[in-house]
Amino acid sequence: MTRLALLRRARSMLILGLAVRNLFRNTRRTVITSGAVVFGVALQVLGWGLVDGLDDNFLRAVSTTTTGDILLRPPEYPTDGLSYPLEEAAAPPALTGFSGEAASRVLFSARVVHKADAARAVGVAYDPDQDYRVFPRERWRVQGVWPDAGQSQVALGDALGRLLGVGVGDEVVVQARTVDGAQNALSYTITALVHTDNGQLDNTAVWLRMDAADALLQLQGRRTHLSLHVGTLEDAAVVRDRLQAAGAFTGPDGKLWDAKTTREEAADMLAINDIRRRAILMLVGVIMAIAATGIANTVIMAAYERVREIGTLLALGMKRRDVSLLFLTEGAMLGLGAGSVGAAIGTAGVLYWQFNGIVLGEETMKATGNLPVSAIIYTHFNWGPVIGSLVFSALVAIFASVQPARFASRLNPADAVRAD
Amino acid sequence: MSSAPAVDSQLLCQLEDVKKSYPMGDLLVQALKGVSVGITAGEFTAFAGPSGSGKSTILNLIGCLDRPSSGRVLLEGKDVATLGDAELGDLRARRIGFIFQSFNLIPVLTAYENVELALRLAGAPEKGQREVVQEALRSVGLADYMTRRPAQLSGGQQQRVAIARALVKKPALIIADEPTANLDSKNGAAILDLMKTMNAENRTTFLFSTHDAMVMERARRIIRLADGEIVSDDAAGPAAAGA
Ligand SMILES: Nc1ncnc2c1ncn2[C@@H]1O[C@H](COP(=O)(O)OP(=O)(O)OP(=O)(O)O)[C@@H](O)[C@H]1O
Ligand SMILES: [Mg+2]
Repeated sequence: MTRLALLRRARSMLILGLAVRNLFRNTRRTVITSGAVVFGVALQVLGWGLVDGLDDNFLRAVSTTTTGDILLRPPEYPTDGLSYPLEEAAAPPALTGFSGEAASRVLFSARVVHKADAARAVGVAYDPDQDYRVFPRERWRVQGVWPDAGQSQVALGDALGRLLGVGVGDEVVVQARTVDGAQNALSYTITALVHTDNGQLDNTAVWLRMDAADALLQLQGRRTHLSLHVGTLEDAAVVRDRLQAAGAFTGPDGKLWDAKTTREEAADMLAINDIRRRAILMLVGVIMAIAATGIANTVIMAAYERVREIGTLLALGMKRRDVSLLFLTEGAMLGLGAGSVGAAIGTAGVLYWQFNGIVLGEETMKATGNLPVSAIIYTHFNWGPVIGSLVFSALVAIFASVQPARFASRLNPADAVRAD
Repeated sequence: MSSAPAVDSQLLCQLEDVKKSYPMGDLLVQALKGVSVGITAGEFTAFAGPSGSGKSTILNLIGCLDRPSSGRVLLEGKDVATLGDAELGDLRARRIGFIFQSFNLIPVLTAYENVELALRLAGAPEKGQREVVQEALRSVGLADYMTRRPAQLSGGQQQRVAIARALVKKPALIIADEPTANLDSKNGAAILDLMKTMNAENRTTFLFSTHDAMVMERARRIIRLADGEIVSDDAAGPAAAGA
């Protein structure tokens, strides 16, 4: 090291050492000042972890129960997921060149009638040989057994079952229109109550095998949904584009089926979470502004209290620039220290709920109504908000220290050494 | 005193017709009204005079803590007015030690660290610092108090640390504005004797101010101020220093 570099290092060490000591000279004040920063940063990290977890939760809920990695629908079929027009059903494409698992379904509007009670429902006709390969049924809680081949049997979403007051072994009538629009109704025995990771299905689904659905709907090989399990680390969008270009999604009638990745399918819900993120940012911004005034106040008080000391440092030959740096360093350390504590608290919370999950109560699940969300939210840890909020809190603290630093570095040493 | 003497290279410090005024509302307070005086290396000199006579003001100017309104302050032959803030700081860090009425130790630093701080600010090499600091504290009789914070020391002990802090960088000049004013007479006398020993052993120049007859007794040269002017100087000239 050159002599100049040595001197510079010695100066930085001196300033750092003094700053650390000064932070601990009024511990109570330091702690109180830190409070708002700790709270703001913890809130930021926790909030972010929760919203990222909501993203995951939502993506998981739909991908493991309704979409897979890529969801295909007939050309004219609505993509808003609000209605299930059976007249748009079509013969599905052969998926030439696709080597992963695929499962076709037919979704249809239905009414389930049990004695005097009736409820609107969504029929889910599934292909029993394919469905479990795309959707991990082993993760669902099934009370009873899935319907058998050649029988008039259905399974109900467990919440729908509770709504109708029915259980395994009870008889229900399912009313629906056929592909050609004719009213039909058939009687079925309930073999299972199904609890998936998707509250929407549990509230509304009537599960029946494709052969049973054929009898009710006269499908003649037509389908409304085709879900693909990509099963590679490759991005679903890339796979989709490749398959689409290769003609894998074109039906036997020559029409191209609409193909969306889960993420695209979830775009609306993810956008809601982006609004949540913005709300958190705004709240944290307000808290940090409050924190900034607290820090400014603390550093200003420190500067006024220490006039004589600053005068002494100047008399001993400390450069004005270094006096200024001393106060900025104290501010930055306060911000970084408090930010680190906040980030640690937030991270601890995020990691805890990442492994243990936040279990939403029965009531909350009812309130989520027909949203496809799982009853357990796992938070999702990300370095982004941790680093972001640390940098932010340090910047806020430095910003708040600029004025006091300027005051301190401009003192006249002759007057300052005699201040009381 | 009206005609300014020529620059005398023998002098450690020379004031030539120095005036200093402070703004007080719309008025200007004349704290020094044209002072000329020379200080030789090795002096042990007291500035005396009633309150408000300009003792602190003159020490501030010699110590480069402040600049004169007019006139020249020469330190080791160099006109202080030609130096910028940073250069003045460097000059204070390396060449001038300060002892204050209220001790002015840094409260968060131990006695050892307070003394070390002066060395570090003077840009002394890190090698050998430890021994130099310990020796300085030993020489003021505080070998056993190095790890104490100022709050854990008596006033007399604090002022000893301050003396060690001023001496450790071996400055040309030590400025002490009323060093005994916050001490009882016994401690005050001890501090003065210590300063005098240091002056004799190291030939370090001491300039101090005081109201106290006990302190004046120990000075070798007394310069009396009244109303911003020198009214008596018991040295006939710089040659009398050290007599
Ligand atoms: N920073 C200042 N602003 C305004 N006036 C000042 C300032 N410093 C000193 N003065 C005035 O200048 C004059 C000389 O002050 P100075 O402090 O030099 O006196 P002193 O001899 O040290 O007095 P004391 O024995 O009380 O310390 C006084 O009238 C004082 O009021
Ligand atoms: Mg004074």
